[in-house]
Amino acid sequence: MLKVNNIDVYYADVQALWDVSIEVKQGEIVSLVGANGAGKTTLLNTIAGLLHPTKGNIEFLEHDLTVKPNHRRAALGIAHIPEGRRLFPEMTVKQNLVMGSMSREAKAKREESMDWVFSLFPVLKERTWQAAGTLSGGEAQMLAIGRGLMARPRLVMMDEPSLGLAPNLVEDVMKITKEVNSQGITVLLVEQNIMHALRVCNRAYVLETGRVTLEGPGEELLTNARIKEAYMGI
Amino acid sequence: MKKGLLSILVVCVVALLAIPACAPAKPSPAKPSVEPIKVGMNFSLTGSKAKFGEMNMNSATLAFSDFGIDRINDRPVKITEEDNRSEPATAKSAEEKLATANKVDLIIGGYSSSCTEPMTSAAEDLGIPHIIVTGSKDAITGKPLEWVFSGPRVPASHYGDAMWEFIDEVIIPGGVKKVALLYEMTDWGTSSAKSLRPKLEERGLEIVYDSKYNSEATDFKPMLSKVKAADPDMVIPVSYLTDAGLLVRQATGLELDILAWIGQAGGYTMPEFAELAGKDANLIFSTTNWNPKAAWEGTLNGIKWSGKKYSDEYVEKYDTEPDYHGAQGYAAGQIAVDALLRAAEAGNTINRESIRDALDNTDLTTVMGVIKHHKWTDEMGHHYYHQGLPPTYVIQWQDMAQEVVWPEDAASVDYIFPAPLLEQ
Amino acid sequence: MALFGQTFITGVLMGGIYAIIAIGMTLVMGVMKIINLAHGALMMVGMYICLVLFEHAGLHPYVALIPTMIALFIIGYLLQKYSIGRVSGVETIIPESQVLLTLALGLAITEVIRVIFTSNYQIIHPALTGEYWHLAGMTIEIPYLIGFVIATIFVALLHFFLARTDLGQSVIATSQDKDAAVYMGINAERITNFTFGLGTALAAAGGVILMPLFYLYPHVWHPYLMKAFVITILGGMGSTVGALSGGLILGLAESFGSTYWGPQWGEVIGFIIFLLILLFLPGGLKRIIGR
Ligand SMILES: Nc1ncnc2c1ncn2[C@@H]1O[C@H](COP(=O)(O)OP(=O)(O)OP(=O)(O)O)[C@@H](O)[C@H]1O
Ligand SMILES: [Mg+2]
Repeated sequence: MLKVNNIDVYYADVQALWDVSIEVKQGEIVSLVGANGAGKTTLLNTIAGLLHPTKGNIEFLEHDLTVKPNHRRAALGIAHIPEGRRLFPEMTVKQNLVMGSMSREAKAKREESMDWVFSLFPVLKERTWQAAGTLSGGEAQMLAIGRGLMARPRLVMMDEPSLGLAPNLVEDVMKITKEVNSQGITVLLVEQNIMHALRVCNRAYVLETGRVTLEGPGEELLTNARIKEAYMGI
Repeated sequence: MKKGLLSILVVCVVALLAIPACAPAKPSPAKPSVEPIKVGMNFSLTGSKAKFGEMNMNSATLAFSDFGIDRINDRPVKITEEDNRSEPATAKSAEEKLATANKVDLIIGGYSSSCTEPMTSAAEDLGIPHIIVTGSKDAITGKPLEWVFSGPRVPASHYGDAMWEFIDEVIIPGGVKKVALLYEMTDWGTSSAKSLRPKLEERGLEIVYDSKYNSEATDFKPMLSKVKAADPDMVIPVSYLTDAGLLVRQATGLELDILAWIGQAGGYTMPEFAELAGKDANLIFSTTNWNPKAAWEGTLNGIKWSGKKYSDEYVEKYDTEPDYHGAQGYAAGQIAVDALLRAAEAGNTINRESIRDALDNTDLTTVMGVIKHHKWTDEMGHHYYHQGLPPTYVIQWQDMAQEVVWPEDAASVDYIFPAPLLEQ
Repeated sequence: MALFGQTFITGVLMGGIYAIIAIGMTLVMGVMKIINLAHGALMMVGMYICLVLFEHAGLHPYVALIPTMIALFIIGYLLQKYSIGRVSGVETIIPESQVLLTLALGLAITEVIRVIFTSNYQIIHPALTGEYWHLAGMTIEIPYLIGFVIATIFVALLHFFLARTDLGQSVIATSQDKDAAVYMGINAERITNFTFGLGTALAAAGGVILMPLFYLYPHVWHPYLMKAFVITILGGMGSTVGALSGGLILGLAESFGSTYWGPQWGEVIGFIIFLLILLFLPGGLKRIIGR
């Protein structure tokens, strides 16, 4: 479904990604793990179109993403739930959700999608008229995910959805990730919490200083000695 | 080689300096009749004051051609122009050059006070008759000068004469007791207000509202509401152009009930004022130093003239309306022509002395009114020598046109008083 | 009492007209995070278009309002798209360079207008100019009242548009977080162009409703730009309610100031408010910088 082929990405003169290739297949949950500064957000932002590779290309379904303007990617079926949530703070919960459904197809299904999101996150329904900027961390994260889902995406990219959440909420987020996936939506997940990330996914990529150094099914990587040493301190 | 060049330069400089020194200190004796009568013009033709200097000179020159003066006693009349670049030092040297190098018999000149003063002192030193055109500073003719004559200019402290006369003879007898004084807040407005206040008070008029305002505002209704609450009989505003129009329009809208609105010179005499104020401009009074409608006319050298004719001719020739600077230039020209003709009539040869004597006896109606060069003292105790006092005027907007209504002998129509803002 | 009432009415009516001028600026500032110093000059262009429509097509300013707004919408849109927008790269944004550009544009536009129309005052007297309504000792200049009504209608329409339509919500979303708006599939660039056009059209509307009340010359916009700026700071960026209340506060402050404190103070009060807001309520400014 999504194929990133040998891309290099720079911030001005500084190279952040080196010859990175990943693939996400229809229906999968793919995790992207790595230390702080490894380049995970950079990779997602490149797929989202905020950054442009100097080498390589990105394919999504039949399209070459590298030639699509960034605001077109939502309509193709890619939803990006960015690092730090990036909600519209002065808009209400409902207005934020509406903003998630701006593509033509999503607009047509707006009511239906909203019911669906409210059924996934009942707490959001109670907060319909509250300004997003006043939500708690967990509520805000749910709204960020809900807003992403409003686009009726084929692929959801989540950048550290559990960041700053209490452990029980992290569990919830993982559950939701699985549930979203079970509804036929492919997930590309970036997660600090490597145990969670590897457990929830089908396959995973390990990114180290801008390069892919390991890939494989989640359970396999869980038992990988290098991973254990580097990320779990075992 | 270098030395040679330097010595040539030194010789040149010395020669240049020597020219004035060699010139006769006394006016030259009568020349054979083929020698032309030379009239010098010393004006600001370039520099900051060029606009008015040009109008001064164009008008003075126009007078010579209008009255057909190209020969007197078989001597051709020749006009020599000098540009003083609006600089006092240049004004002085131009005066000296005209007197000594060009050997003119009479000089007309002076727009700004700062240029006029050095001109007149040079003329006095060199013994050449000089007719001042504009220069408004009172003190220019404040000391006795034998060779300097100031007919057409109005000393600044007499700009308001007509208005005060009008106030004394029409406004106050008409029942005006309370005055509102409004003035725009720059230097011009505040200093005008400062000189207005004591003159209002000494006439027993009560100033019931007195405030400055920002001339760039859109809406003057807050101020005008206060004016209305103070219930004046007359409003005296010192305004620029656009604020003048808006003030009148908005005051009319507020139904300000007054007997007269006398706008100080500035915005109220410009055509755009009527455009801005629309029909509300009607009956508004203002003051001016000159207006083509002032009913001055006469015959000079057998040729009929009037202020209107001069103005039309000027517009046709220079494509712009003359203001009082132009009229002063024209009047100076008329005074000069008259003096030359009289000097010749007496059977004298025309020279500096005979011209001076003729100017001493000038009593002439010009576009600026009746001009005499005499000695007088005003009510403030200022003395003036060889100074005329051209009248200033009160104008009133009637049927969307400016009409001269005061002084009565110059009026183009009768004044309308009381002059309320709305004649519904 | 009549004096108080007159002062109040004058302030409210003027404030409504200020609000419509300011609202365009506050919108643009919300979305672009820059002060658009060409805003006033564009308002002035609208006034000249209205002048031409009045003199050559005989359209009353209240009729010319719509074509003028459309023209200025297009001018604003294109100006942003091909000039101001070009200076803003996503990564290399230097807000100052855009502000300087808007300043240069404002001055250039003024010069062009001066060359075409000269610096002379242009004055029109459409129907209703100089018509008054007298009410309990107070006077209401009818074009002020109509101007106020038009301004309030536009402010209300704009408020409805921003709150209730997808396009309007996209404008708000873009002003709150441009990158996030792009994630949502909003074409932030086009929204910015659109907002600029809309803001310009509203400024033009403010200019047009001044036409029966005021006079026109190329530099007419100077005080209005400053007032719009004060109101923007006062009301908060991108907020219609803020701009309307800011406009009313400024209008009332000027009016009461000049009645009870002296007419020379009327305009000064706006700047005093501005300083007080910056000193004691710096939230507005912080948001401009805090992007
Ligand atoms: N805007 C930027 N300009 C320059 N360098 C940047 C920029 N954003 C990120 N980088 C650099 O690129 C590298 C990758 O950063 P990135 O944000 O992709 O890391 P990450 O894997 O998402 O880290 P984290 O787990 O902390 O979110 C880092 O060295 C970072 O300093
Ligand atoms: Mg990151």
